[in-house]
Order: sequence, then structure tokens, then C-alpha cells
Amino acid sequence: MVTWSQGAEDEQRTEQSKVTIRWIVVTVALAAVTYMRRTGTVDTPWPVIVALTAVIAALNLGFSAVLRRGAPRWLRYVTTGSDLAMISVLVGYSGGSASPFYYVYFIVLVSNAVRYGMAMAIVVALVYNVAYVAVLMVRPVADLTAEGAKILAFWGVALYAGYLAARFQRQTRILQAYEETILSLRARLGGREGPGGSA
Amino acid sequence: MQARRLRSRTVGWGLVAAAVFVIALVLVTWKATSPLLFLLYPVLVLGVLALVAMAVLWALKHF
Repeated sequence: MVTWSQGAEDEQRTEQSKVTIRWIVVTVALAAVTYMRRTGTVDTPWPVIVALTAVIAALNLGFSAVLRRGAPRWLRYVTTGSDLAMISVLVGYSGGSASPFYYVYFIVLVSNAVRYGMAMAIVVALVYNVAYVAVLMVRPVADLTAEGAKILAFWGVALYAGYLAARFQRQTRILQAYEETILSLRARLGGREGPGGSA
Repeated sequence: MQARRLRSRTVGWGLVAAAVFVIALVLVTWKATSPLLFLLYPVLVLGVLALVAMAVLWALKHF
């Protein structure tokens, strides 16, 4: 049986791995936006690049500090929400719907859906939906149908990833139950055989 | 307390509502005049999903 403390440890490990991945993704994304700004591919203002870097670094350090004492349940929602908010700011300032960083949304979606299952996949899609509408309000586009289709495609990926994660979680639980049954049967058998090995 | 049973009429109306939601999804995507209309997506997508899931569960129990 999975105990509460084991579940909390798992969550702590999961969130710690998210912190590490966030450092990597942030480093790559901000190096890319800096390069693209220098080559003129995107028009993200320098103060925004610096501010984004500072805010994400501060948030990541804050998450690490919280994780040293444990992993509260709300943390997964805060980290996911802040990730999506930061990506939306980056997308908004690097071309809106045409931003080359649009696909970073999918990293957050898939990594959270795989770790936490269907409920989190729906939360990610919901927050993305609201955040991307905000991006479209700030950076209007001519073809709204294509943007609607993009949002719907994201919902599709979210629901499918959530479904696959739920199936995987169910299979893991079944395997765990089998292992526990085998262990208990072995223990009972060991008790019946006694120290000499005969019944 | 007695458990509430899902009736075939409820499931039927649920499927009609799901179809209306799908049509609304298509219309919002096709004819949207403001990005704010995309805020209807969560209600429509999750609504379709819930209503279809209800119908599938009912069908699995009865067929």
C-alpha cells in the first residue's frame, strides 16, 4: 500500500525534478530569445528579457526553498500556473500567435500530464486557454479561426495525454497490488515452512 | 438513501446537448469576432466530454 509519507516524498521528488527541468528550459529559451533578438527575428525588448529571467530565477529559487521542507499539495498548481504565465509573457512579447516559443506550452502540458494525470492535464489546458486569450487580446491577429483551432488542438493533446497518463497510473496500481499479493503470499509460505524449509 | 438511476431519456437529452455543444464549438471557431469568445472552449469541451462519458457509461451498463 502507498502510504501518505511515501506519496509526499514522491511529490517532493517530482517537483524537484520540475525545478531542474525548469532551469534547463529557461536557460535554453532565454538564450534563444537573446540570440533571436540580436539577429532581429523577434522584437522582444531587452528589459522584458532581463525581467523574465529574474522573475523565473526568483520563482525557481523560491520553489526550491519550499521543497526543502516538503511538497505541499498546492505547490504543483502554483508551479504550473507560474510556468504558463511566464510562457504567455514570453509568447506575447515575441510575436504573439506567430511566436517561435508557442510550442513551449506543450512542454508544460506533457510534463505535468505525465506526472499528475488527467486532472492536471485539464488544469493546464484551462489555464493555457485563458492565458492565450489574454495574449491574443494584447497582440490581435487577423485570422481568429486558426487561433481557435490552435486552442482546440491544445485541448485535444491535453485530453489525450491525460487519458494515457490515467491508463498508465491504473496499470501501475494494478502491478503494485500484484507485487503486494506476491509478497504477502511469500511471507505466509515462509511462515508455514519454518526454519527447516519443510511444512 | 436510494441511488439515483440514469434514465434513457436523460441520456438522450444529454446527447442532444452534446451535439449542440459540438455545433457551438465549430461556430465559435469559425465565426469568432473576438478572442474572448474562445473563453467558452473549456465549458464546451468539458461539457461534450462529460455528456458523452455519461452516455457511454449508460450504454455499457445496458448493452
